[in-house]
Amino acid sequence: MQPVLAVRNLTVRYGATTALAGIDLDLRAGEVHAVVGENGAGKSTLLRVLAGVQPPSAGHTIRNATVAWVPQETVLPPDLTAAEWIFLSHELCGPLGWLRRTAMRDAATAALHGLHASVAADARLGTLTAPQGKQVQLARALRREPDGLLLDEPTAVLGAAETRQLFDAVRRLKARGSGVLYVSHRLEEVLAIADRVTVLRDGCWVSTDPVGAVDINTLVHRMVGRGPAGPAASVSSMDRSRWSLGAATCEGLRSPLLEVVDLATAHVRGFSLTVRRGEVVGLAGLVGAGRSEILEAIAGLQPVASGHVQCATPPALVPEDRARNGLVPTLSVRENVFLPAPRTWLRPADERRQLAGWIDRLRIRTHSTEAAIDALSGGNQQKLLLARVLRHQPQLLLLDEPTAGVDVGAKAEIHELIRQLAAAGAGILLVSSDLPELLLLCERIIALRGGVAVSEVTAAEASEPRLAGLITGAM
Amino acid sequence: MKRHLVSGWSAALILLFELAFFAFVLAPRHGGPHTFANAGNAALILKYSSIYGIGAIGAAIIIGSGGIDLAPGAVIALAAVVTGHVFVIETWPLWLACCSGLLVGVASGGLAAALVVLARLPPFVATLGVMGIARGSAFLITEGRFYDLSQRIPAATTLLHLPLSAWPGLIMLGLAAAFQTVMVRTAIGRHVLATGGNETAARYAGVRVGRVKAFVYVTGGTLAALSGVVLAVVQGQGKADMATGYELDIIAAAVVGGASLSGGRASVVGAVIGSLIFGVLRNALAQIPGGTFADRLILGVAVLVIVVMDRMATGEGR
Repeated sequence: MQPVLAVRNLTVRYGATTALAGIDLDLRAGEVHAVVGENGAGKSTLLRVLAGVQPPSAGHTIRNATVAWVPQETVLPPDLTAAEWIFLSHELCGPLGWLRRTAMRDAATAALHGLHASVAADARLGTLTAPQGKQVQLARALRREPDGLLLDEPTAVLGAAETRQLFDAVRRLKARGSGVLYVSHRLEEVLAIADRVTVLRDGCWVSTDPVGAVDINTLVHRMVGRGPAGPAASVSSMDRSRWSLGAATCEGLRSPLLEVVDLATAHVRGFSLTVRRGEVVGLAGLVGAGRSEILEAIAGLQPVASGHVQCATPPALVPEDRARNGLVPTLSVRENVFLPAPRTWLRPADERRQLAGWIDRLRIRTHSTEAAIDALSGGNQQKLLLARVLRHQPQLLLLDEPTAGVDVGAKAEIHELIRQLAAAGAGILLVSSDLPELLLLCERIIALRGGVAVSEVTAAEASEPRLAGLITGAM
Repeated sequence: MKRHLVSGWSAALILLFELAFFAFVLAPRHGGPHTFANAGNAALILKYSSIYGIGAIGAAIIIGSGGIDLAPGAVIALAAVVTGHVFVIETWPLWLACCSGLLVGVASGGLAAALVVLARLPPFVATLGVMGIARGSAFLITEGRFYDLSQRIPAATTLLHLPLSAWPGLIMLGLAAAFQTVMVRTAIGRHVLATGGNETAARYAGVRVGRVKAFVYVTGGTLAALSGVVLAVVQGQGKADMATGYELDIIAAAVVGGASLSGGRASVVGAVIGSLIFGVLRNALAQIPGGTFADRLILGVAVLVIVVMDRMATGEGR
């Protein structure tokens, strides 16, 4: 039985870097085949080859099918509507070649409905949030019922409900006999949806197994080449003195760094919040609930309709959607980190030296400080944004999906970083769609629904089902 | 980083090839002096290229910021006209007349900046408007006459012991060095390229995008005006209809020198080399019988060929 897609002895080189070396892999009809690995293991490169946009340096690809590819990050053209994008290059035309707009709009609405996406078919792409954009991308791919579907971190920006809808859609596609190649860092999800799991490490194939034969620990072990570091191990592996941000005040007195009173913005009403020194406060909510808007309003990037925001120190924002809001593709790694430039007359040698320090501390994988941004994997790009912000030793941090599209190892490192920063006295407001992450890091979590804070829970009394219930309104 | 350096270098290579080519093709058949490859001709090329070259520096910076400027031709004319008017009619001293010419550039650049930053007009539209206003103002001031500055400037005038005709080229080279330094070695240079590469990301990172845009348009306007002042003094004329269409040559020079119209990439030195490439081409064609008729055609084809070659060399445009 012919595989839907396969690669044989695939090697891909970008200049001096080997992204993939001698990979053999096949995607069978009617299976969900997951591919896991750390940052830089070569997963996205593999998908690009299978999608036909990356020519291999050696080896070959076998494609017996229509293939739809949903990349990890796409910048959507802002002036097209969702329906136009869904049908782009596959438009429905009448006999004379006229576009059948109504038919396309209805089909797009149906496709979006199948994912329970809160996006109108006529909505302009420029008005959508990152998760909504991702849903439009998925609708575009799924509508065509391709024989092969390539998904690259599809749930990185999706919340719990949207992820469930996606899984249902994937199962329907599987039942039709299509093959789905599923790349993700979320190992629990992988075990839930996949039939087989392949592990890649540093561009090499490590293993392919039926999902019943492996568990999370085994996968992590193979991805990382060593056992997953336990919490105690990672604390001692990072020198606390590196993160000194000034003396933290004593336990009893924690002064407020951020006070938000009755904030109203475009989609948010009556939002109040205090973040004190050393606190990590989480903001949970579905797509469109208004979480990013709140962070941006605090950072001064969004207009405030009413209420006020008071920060004891300048807030540092790490935005979501790093491709759109974070990184400048025409500047090098170093120039992106040192933005805005630290002095009027630049000192490249100093910047290179400092950046080498950050590369070391955050374990950023790049072959050079002068590399182009697109040579780095998603997780390493995210670390660049963190370095950019941490350079100023901020006391108040606003983090929007800081571990979206980041692998297990790097995720743990970022979590540890957040803990260290809080321990040294910084206040952190954390937005995340990853409920376990919020439960792991935050002392308190505010649940946001439809632009209004519906509840605040402490870490002790919260649980994932409870949080999920609060943000969806099932409670 | 590597990418725009290659473009600046490839422009230099093209220039060298061009010079060698024409030195060979235009070599005299029957002895006698070489009409192309001599010092006097080189000085001439430098002088005439600098009218575009000075403006191309500004264009490279504006394009690097993600914008575009259609006004340079009109601003050159207006600056030349204003300089001519105050020098000839109001009989101000020359240095004061030149300053007024430069102020024209500051004003037109400021207007473009206000339209782009405050009124949020797309740069194409904003500078199209400034172009019309500048050109129209030039016609209003001159009322169809032209100013003859050469009457009041003695033929053998020297500035710092160099003849006036040497100055345009020197100014262009000096400004190229200065602005290349600004773009590569200063914060504002990095902020310009960041704004052009991804304006949203630059803004989120904390770059003051409004100020960056104000800087590029005022600089571009002032440089265009400087071209106009130089033209007026060196050529001795201020006319309302001069420099028509120069903005396209200026933009072409910047693009050939490595500026990407999608923003985020530009080279000041490359833009100046680009203007020299076209200057050499014009000069050489004028020495070939019938060459001037093919002038614009060859220049158009040359721009396409150069940009395509450069893209292939840097592997862009996947």
